[in-house]
Amino acid sequence: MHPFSIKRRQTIALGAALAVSTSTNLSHAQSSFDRAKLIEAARKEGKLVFYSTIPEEQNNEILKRFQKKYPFIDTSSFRATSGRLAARLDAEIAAGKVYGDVLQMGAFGRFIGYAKAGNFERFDTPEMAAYEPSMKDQGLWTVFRVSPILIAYSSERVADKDAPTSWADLTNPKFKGRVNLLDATSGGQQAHWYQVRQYLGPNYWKQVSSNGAVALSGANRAMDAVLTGEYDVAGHTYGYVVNSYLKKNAPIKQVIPKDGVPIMISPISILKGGPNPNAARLFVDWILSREGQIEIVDVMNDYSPRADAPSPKGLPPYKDLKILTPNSWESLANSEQEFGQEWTSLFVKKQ
Amino acid sequence: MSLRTAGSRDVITATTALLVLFLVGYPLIMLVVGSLSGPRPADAGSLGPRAYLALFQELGLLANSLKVAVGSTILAMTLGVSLAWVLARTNVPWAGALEQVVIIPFYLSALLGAVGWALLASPSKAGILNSLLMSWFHLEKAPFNVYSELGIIWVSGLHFAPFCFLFSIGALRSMEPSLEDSSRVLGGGTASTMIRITMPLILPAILGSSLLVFVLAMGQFGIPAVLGVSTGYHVVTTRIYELIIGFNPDYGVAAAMGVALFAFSALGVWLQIRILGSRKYTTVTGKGFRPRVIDVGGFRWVLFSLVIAYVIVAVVLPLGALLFASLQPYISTNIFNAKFTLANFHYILFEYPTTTLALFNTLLLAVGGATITLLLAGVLAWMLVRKRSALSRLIEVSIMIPVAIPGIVFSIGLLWAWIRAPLPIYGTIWILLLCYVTIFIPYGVRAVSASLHQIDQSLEECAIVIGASWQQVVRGILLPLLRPGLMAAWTLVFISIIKELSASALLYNSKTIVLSVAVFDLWIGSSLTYVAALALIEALVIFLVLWVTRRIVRAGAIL
Repeated sequence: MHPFSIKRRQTIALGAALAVSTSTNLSHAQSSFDRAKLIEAARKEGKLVFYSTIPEEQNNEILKRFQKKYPFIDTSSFRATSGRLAARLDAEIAAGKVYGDVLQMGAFGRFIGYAKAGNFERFDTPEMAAYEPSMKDQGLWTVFRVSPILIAYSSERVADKDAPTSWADLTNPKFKGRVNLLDATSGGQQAHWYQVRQYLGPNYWKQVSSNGAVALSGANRAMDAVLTGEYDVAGHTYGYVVNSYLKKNAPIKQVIPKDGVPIMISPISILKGGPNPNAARLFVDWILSREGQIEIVDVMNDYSPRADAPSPKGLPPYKDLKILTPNSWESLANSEQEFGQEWTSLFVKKQ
Repeated sequence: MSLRTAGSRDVITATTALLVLFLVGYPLIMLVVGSLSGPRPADAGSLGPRAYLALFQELGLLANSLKVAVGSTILAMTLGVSLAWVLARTNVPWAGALEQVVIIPFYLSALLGAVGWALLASPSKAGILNSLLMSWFHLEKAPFNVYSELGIIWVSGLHFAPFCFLFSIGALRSMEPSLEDSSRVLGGGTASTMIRITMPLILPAILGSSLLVFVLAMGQFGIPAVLGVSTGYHVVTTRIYELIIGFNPDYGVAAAMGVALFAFSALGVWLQIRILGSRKYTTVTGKGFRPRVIDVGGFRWVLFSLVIAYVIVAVVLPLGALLFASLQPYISTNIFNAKFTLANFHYILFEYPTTTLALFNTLLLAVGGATITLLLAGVLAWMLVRKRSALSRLIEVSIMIPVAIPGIVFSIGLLWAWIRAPLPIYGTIWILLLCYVTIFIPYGVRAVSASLHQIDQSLEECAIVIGASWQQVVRGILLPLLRPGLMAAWTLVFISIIKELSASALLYNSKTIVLSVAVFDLWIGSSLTYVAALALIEALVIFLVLWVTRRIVRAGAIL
């Protein structure tokens, strides 16, 4: 019924296969993979530079937990919005001097662009076997977190019985002019646009637009605008954003839309020509391991693509969600321009 | 003048000039190459005018940029120059304290200034001012809407007013009063003396700063981005921002826009040289003087109230809104039902891992950067004012490069330039220092030369005739006379470095992070309550450092 969950069951079956080591692919990866040797090589480098778009606090926490496991690696990072990170990386690639070792980038399309341009280093670890095929391009990149896209509303101004329960509700006249979304620079909004359009039909976003929704910049600004009363409903948010506000007892409630949950995926890869290739491999090996994924779920409050990792706090198990899996991540990535134009024409209200 | 003196002086000025030409010229060359290339920096194979032809599709944005720039420059100049005159030249009460207070809006980044006003005047009950006025006067509709062209002009004007203030106050302080005295002896009133004598005399400072403010307002990003985005109001810079960091990047067109904006302001510099060139502004001569403080009688209380009104509108309201936000458990503009907490400050000071490191890096870079910038700028300003030559005219136009090209574009130029340079500074804290000096040299040069215009050259010539070396002239004559101007210039550059974001956000790493980037990080990935708390801590740090610096300078330990 939902392609992702079916594949997930296959993944579990694959995990069982791992125990008896029948998969040729796996035995190949295992024979060529020597973690002890990798640890020694990484120890010699002693450094790791992480290029990332994860917010400062969570980014630091992830590196801290990696260092707890491998204290001999001195980690640092350059973190920025996808556009700024790409501007710096593009310049480094053009100059032939790449300063980052590992890349994580929110904008999926741009990330895939680097893969196609040959800017990533191939690396296989047996950990990748736990990731089903739609979550990786074997050896080139692997998705290390899956963020469900949710709705949130002000519990001060919207009674629970009036609250939206589905994406379809955002077109209901009772929410006219009360809903905000994110602007076209958001990679998550692009995934949201693509997946909901695929499942609810091509007219869905036009209806949301005629119901007066407005695009703002950034999930936190959108949530702040719901708290100040500029809007009542955040039509694009994430579990970890809602959680950070709930910790402060903000009057916010989250909705897992009953007509399906779109997801944003975050892949990770090793940059070709980076200064510390072995530390990079060790970091990717750790982040994809069950141990690393438990830390990621704890820090990011997102789902892990691994079946053997726990669910994030406050969210149901992944298998209970009705995931709106896109027909192709590749064509989702390629839809950037179409999305940008349609989104700006629909949700940037002209004066 | 002895040959040795002239020789060492010329070596120093020429070396400085060439160094600065290289610092600002190298990134410009990279941008020009980029503007002739394809959308990505790797497309350098296909050179052509593609990007410049694409500019013609964006002329509507230029009109918006011009409206915002002209409007905010007029507002900023009117406020800045009037405040400077009142506080420097009249006996308005508590002038010393007010002088420190009126520049406080400049401590905040443009982004935070815009956020403060969005909290105040968002067009519904969500805006604090609107909510108050609506409930007091039973209004149906919110009276203010900051998400508009007028809102952008208003917030930008207030943001740049302290900039104009700092420029004019140095010039007003180093002004000999004899011309004003003559005017008054001949029957001119206070107002007519001010308009006919004082204002024309500080014309170099006024024109210099209005040109800078106009160009900066053309190149500003934060305010139109915060206040224009939800209504689709675009200016050239918000479009450039999209071109660089948006979903479909085109560095070529972004670079072309930057180069075109520079050409535009080079024209402004040329006009300014024409206007200033035909007159003489020397008012500081060999005779001893103290700028006269004009006794305006009972009128001083009227002036005082006007200054206080400015302080309430430009300082108390937006800072108050941010302070209110920083004291809420989660963002709220409902001041009737507020819950107060210090949790945000506790988080920022003791839990957020970046604050201490960013504070340390920022202070190091801002104090070091402002001092180096002022040393270079002092030499260049002297050359521009005293030694007119082809080189000095080239410098005068070139130092507009980092101002005229919007920060986000110039930063890309700096990135492209220094990533290829053989110096091993990319990825270290020194790249930030180098970029700050490059970006803020123009502020230093303009601020120092505004004061230098007024000092009579004969003072220096006399000293050299009696055998003083150039170094002695600088230490014994220029530095003491320029002190008010230098102090204002250092303040200007110091604050500007702390607020710099475009270059910092491209060139920092987690070990060289600075406050502006830390605030922006919170803006991107956290709630406004944290952003407000860190921005206010940043403002407090600026205030304290300036206070300490003034104490040291007053004690005579420096200069």
